[in-house]
Amino acid sequence: MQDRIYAKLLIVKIKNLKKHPLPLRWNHWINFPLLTIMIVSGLAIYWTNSDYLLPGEWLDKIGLGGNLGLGMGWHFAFAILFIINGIFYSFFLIKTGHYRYLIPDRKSLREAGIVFLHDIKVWKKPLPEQIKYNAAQRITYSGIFLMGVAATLTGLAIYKPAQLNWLLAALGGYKAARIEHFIIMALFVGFFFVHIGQVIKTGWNNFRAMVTGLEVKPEVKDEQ
Amino acid sequence: MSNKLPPLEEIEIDSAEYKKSNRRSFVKAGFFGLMGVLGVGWIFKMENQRELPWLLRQVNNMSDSFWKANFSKDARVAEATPDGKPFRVNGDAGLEETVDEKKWRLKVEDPELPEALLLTIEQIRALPSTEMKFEFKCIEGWSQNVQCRGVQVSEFMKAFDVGQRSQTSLSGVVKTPYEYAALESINGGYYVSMDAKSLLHSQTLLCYEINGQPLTVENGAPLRLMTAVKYGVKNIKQLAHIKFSDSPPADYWAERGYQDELMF
Repeated sequence: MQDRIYAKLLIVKIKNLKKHPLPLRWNHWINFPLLTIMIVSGLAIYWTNSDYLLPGEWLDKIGLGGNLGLGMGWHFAFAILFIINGIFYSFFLIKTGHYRYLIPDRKSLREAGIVFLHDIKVWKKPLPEQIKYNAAQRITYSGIFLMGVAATLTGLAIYKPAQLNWLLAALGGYKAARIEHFIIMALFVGFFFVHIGQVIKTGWNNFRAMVTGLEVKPEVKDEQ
Repeated sequence: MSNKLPPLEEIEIDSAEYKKSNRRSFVKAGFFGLMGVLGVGWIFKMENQRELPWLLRQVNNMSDSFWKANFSKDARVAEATPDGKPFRVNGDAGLEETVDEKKWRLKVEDPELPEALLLTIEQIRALPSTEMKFEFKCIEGWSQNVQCRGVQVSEFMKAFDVGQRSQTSLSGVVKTPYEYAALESINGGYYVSMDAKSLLHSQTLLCYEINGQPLTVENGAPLRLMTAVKYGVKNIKQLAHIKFSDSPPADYWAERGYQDELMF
């Protein structure tokens, strides 16, 4: 009897923020392997004619050389899943209302500057308040969303230049669309490394929230 | 504006329950991650259908059929001004080094014809010609604006009354094109499959002139296919044999892992 009372007293309540709704977590984690497959298969296609932008010889070293057929097969099949995942992501962003935390507002540009200065340890004062994402994250994640749209549009125009001739013309033609598609890929790769770096820097509580959805609420300290 | 946003919902959980639910989430994540890895491995190890994993070939074919069925009506590739440079020579599969135009014949087979047609290059040149300027797109990624002259395949089929099956109905004889044509080079070493919609497209020519000059042998003299709606690999050079049918014919590059339809 006594033990049970003590046990009850020992139970600690943990305050959590419901940070990432389940469907958005699914979208996030499905997108990661999909985008990886798109990039790897895309590079296998790029390899066969890489006389613009970056020379492609290095792709031989990572085993992507001479796989045009396989590259196209994977790329065009998994593009369908990539698009479906993007559509679901848009839908759930709206349905959960979380698009409001994602889309930058008027103050975001200035605040993103502060966040950046803070990250490179120039800004020493406390950061502006944030609910889910800080201003730099809002701009970056919204940009990533638009890059997904742009990757889809440029990709489709390259894939079906006759059926989508209007889209191809709007993008500046076939060669331009291929270069745009390639640049978007490079930006995705760049984002990946920055993102991983930031996630590691921010720590376990933040990362865990992307898996479990819950972030332990930081203790509010009374300052002065 | 951000001040007006509602704060994130809060939830209080007992520490024991919290640990349990975390563990559950991570076990689930691990499980689905593993399924994903196994799924990709499964596609890689899957039986190939003409050098492409079976599933990828099916999905790609379905996708191409979808685009052709729903979005191909009146779809044309944009006109493009030639760049004035010589037309790039890229492949030599199934090509002869020399060709005797006098001996050359285009053999046309149609299930309704008792015997194959054998046409001379003069007979083809005599048909009304069409000029086409477009961006020739190689499947490997390069492209080049080119101007070419020849007879539209649809015109050619009308002129020699080939490639269409006749069906007698109450309103008379109805002609419908065969689903496919098999196209072969002079020595048979290169062959492509063309579906009816691509073959009958107004931007698909039996071509004998590129950039104002008669075809060179390495660019496919005396006759080649030039189509704006397919990658270069379908633009067969030194064409000598057309066979219409309703079953998908062999295709040189599809046998080597490329998709069947390619582009249009």
